[in-house]
Amino acid sequence: MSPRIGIVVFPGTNCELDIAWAVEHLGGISEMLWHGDATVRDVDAVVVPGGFAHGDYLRTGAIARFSPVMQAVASFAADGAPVVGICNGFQVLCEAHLLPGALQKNAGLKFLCETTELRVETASTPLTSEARVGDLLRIPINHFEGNYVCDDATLARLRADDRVVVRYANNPNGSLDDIAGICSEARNVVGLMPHPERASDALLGSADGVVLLRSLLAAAGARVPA
Amino acid sequence: MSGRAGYAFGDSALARERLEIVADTFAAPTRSLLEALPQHDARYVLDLGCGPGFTTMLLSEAFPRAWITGLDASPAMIADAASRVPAAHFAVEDVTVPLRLPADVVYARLLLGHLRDPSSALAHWARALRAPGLLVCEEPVRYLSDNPVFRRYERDVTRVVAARGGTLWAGDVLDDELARCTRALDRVIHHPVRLGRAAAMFWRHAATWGAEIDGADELIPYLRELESADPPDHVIWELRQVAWVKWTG
Repeated sequence: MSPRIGIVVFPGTNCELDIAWAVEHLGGISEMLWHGDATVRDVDAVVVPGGFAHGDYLRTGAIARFSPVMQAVASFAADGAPVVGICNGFQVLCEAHLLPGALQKNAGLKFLCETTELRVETASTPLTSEARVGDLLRIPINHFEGNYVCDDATLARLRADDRVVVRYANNPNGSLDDIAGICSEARNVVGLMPHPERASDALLGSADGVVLLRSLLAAAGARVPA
Repeated sequence: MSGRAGYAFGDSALARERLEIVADTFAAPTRSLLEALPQHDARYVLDLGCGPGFTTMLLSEAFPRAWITGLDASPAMIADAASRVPAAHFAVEDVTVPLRLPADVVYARLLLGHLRDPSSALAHWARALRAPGLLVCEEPVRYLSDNPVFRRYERDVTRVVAARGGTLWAGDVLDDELARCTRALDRVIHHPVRLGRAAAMFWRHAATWGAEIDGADELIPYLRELESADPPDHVIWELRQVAWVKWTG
């Protein structure tokens, strides 16, 4: 049975169709989860996609974390199920305290829309299980607030526990320790600023994101009852 | 089944060397065509059957602000193209089926003649256009020469391409009417090519095909000699250049 990937849609989300296309292209089933929903239904993994949830008013992700669906996402994550936040989704997961730290405005205070080179730092997450440590992936970023920041103790823990998932080869936005993505202590929640779904076909300029999305489908598939 | 005919000229090193000569030979008429197109602030441009990227380079000159993607069935050609035009994007793709990318400009040169069903390909390409988009094609109508060896060669090459399901002289395919499209430009240019240059292209074909060409053993040395002698005579390619504009409807 194909894994079902739930895609959270807030008012202002704008990458849900991209991730749905990529998921279906790779053999998964996509299911939209409206922000007002109280459950994540029977999905096997959740993606919080990019966009401008609730207009990003106040602070990116700050309002979205109070959407009803986020409680369901939190208990889904607490059960150990795979949850991935991409770009605005990463910001939302940080605001929801499913991931530590925060994303502040890019160093240089410019919106960045470009292809970055990412180094895979760990293969033991639902997003990188099919990649190898050291793989370099060309994946685009598209954000104003992608500059990852956290306190020293958190950074030390992230490093010690091998929880930095991907790093920028050439840091575009001033992120602490070149961090492009991290995972939770239990490793099942992953957030990253780059958009793997926008690098999921050679026609898009790169297919390097496929290995990440395929990893997610494999992790979701492992939860599908036989 | 794919409607793609095997590209008769192949993608060997010799074939790529030949394409370099073809590129050089046809760059001038292509530049003049691109200059003659209706003004278009294209954002997305597709170069179909881009080969090693020579046409992609011309398109990037004509549309400096566009996101240009070259598509070709040959991975070897695509690798060449990517290194030749680093600013453009390239992918191995079958261009005879519905295109997976929308575009403001779709361009194809000397491609329809190699396809089994050029009319259906043209219709797919027109469908991929965003209005007001341009579909731009260049195909040969015929080839004029007094030289008996060249005339025999023309018969042979036509036969070899036909054996693979193509129609080398595909100029007439451009008569097709396309849904929601009108013709913005339709002209036949007479393009003179030095005899030695034509010979340079021809012997490389002949060498690629070997046994498929009658008397290749005599033909190839004759053409190579002509290439190095480079006499001042010319042969004429009649090249048809057509641009359709697609309208919202």
